Amino acid sequence: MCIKMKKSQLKQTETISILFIFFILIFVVFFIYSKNKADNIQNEIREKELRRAVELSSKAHLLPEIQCSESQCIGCSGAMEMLKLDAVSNCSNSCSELIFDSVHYFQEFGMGSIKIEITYPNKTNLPDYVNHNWTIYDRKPLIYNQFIPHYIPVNIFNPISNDCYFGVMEVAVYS
Amino acid sequence: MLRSKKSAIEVQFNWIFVLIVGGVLLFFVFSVIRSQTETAQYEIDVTIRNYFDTILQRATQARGSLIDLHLRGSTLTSSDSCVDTFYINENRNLRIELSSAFSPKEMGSVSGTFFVWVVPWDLPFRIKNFVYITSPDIVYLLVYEDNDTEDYAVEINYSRNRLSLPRDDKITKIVLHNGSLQGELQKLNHLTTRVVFFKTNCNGVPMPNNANTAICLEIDSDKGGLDGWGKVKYLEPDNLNKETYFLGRPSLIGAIISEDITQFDCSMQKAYIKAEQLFNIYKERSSNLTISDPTPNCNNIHARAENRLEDMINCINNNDNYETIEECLYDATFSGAGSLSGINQESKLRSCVYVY
Repeated sequence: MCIKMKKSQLKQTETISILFIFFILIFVVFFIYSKNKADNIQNEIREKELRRAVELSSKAHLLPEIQCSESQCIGCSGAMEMLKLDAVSNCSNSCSELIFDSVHYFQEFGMGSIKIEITYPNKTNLPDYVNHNWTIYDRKPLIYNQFIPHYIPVNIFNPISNDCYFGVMEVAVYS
Repeated sequence: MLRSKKSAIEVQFNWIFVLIVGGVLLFFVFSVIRSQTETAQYEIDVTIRNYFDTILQRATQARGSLIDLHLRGSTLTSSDSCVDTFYINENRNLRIELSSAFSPKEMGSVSGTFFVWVVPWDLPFRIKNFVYITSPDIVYLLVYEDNDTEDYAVEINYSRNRLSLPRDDKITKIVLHNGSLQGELQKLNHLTTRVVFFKTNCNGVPMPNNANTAICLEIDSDKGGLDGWGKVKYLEPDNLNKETYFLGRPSLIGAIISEDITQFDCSMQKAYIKAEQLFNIYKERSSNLTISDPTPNCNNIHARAENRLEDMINCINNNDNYETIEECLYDATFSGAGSLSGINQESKLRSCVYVY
C-alpha cells in the first residue's frame, strides 16, 4: 500500500517539475526576445531622429525665405542670400524679431534650431556691415534627452558686393 | 479495495490536469502569434509611410516634380478639407502627409496608381510649392463656349511652354464644346467625371446632369487671363453654388483639382499666410537696401519696392480699395510699371541690387 502511494506522488511531482522548467524556459526565451526587440526599437528611434535631422536640414536649405532668387546669385549656386538672412533673424520693423518664431514654422520644424555661420572668409576679412552668423529658428524644449546636430556646407551670397561666401548650416533636433 | 480507489482517482486527475495546462499553453501561443502579427503589420505600415515621407518630402520642395505613387491600396482619402493627411484604403496607420495639397476628397484607382505633381506659386517671387494629387480614373472635361474660351481650355489641357495639366497618359482630359457635353457625360456615365467650364461669365451656369462634380472658371483677359485672377464657382445641385477666386495659373489648376471650395480656400489661406511672411522679409530687405545699396540712384527703387511690399501686405490684411485680395495682389505685383515686377526690372536695368 505505501509503495503505491509513493509512486503516484512521485509521478505528480515529476509532471509538475517538468512543466515548471518548461515555463521557465518559455519566459527566458520571451525575455531575450523582448530585450532584443527593445534594442531594435531604440535603434530605429535613433535612426528616425537622424533622418528627421536630415529632412529638416533639407527643408531649411530650400526655404524660399532665405534662398537666392533664380536670376540673382550667378556664380554662387544654391546659395542663401545674406540680406534675407538678416531680415529673417533680425526683423526690426513691424514683423516679429524672429520671423520663423511662429506656429506655421513650428509645424514644419518642431523642436529644433537652425543656425548659419560664415566660415570663409573669416570674420576679420568680411566687410563691417556683414553679420557672420544668424539664428533663424530656435525652439528649445525645457527638458530634453538628446540634442542631435547636423551640419551642411552652404553658400551665402552678398548681393551688395556680389561676393560668395562659404558657410555651415547647423540644424539641430531635440528629442 | 482502498488501493483500487486510489488508482482510479489518480488516472482521472492526470487527464484533467493535462487538459487545463494544454489549454493554457495553446491560449498563450495563439495570443503571442496574434500580437506579433499585429505588430508586424504596424511595422510594415510605418515603413511604407516613412518611405513615402522621404520621397515626397524632397519632391515637394523641388519645382516641377512629377511622381507616380504606386500604392498597395486602391483608394486614397483625405481626412478633412483643411488637413494635409491622406489615408490609403482608410487605414489610419498608412498615411501620406502633404502640405497644401489640392485633391479630390476621395480618389479611387483601379491600378493603384495616383499622380502627384508640384508647381511653384510665384507672386512674383516664389512663395511656396503647390502640390496636386489626383487619380487617372478621374476624367476631366474642359468645356468651352466660344473661340476665346476654347484657347483657354486648350492651353490648360496641354501646353509645351506654359504651365498646364499633365499629359494624357497621366491625367484623362477631354476638351469639348458646351454643346457636346451631355452626350459625352452619358458615354462616361460609369466613370468619375469633373466638368470644368471656361467662361467669361459664370452667372446662371447649372450643375450638369450625370457629372460627379463641376466648377466654372471666369477668365478675363483684362484681369490677366489664365495667369491673372478671376472667379471660381463650385457648382452644386439646386444651384447652391459657392464662389471664390483664383490668383495665378497654379491657383487656377488647384481650383480644377480641388474637391470643393473649402479645401481650395483652406490651401489658399495657408498660401497667403506664407506670402505675408515673405513680403515682410522682402520689405525688411528693401528697407536695409535703401541705406546700404552702394550703386547711385538705387535708393529710390528700393524705397518704391518697400512701399509696394507694404501695399501687398495690406492686401492680405485689409484690402479696402479692392474687391478681393486677388485683385489687390495682382495689381500690386504684376500690373504695370509701378508694380513689383516692374520695379525689379528697373533695378536690373540700373544695375542695382535686385528687388527680388
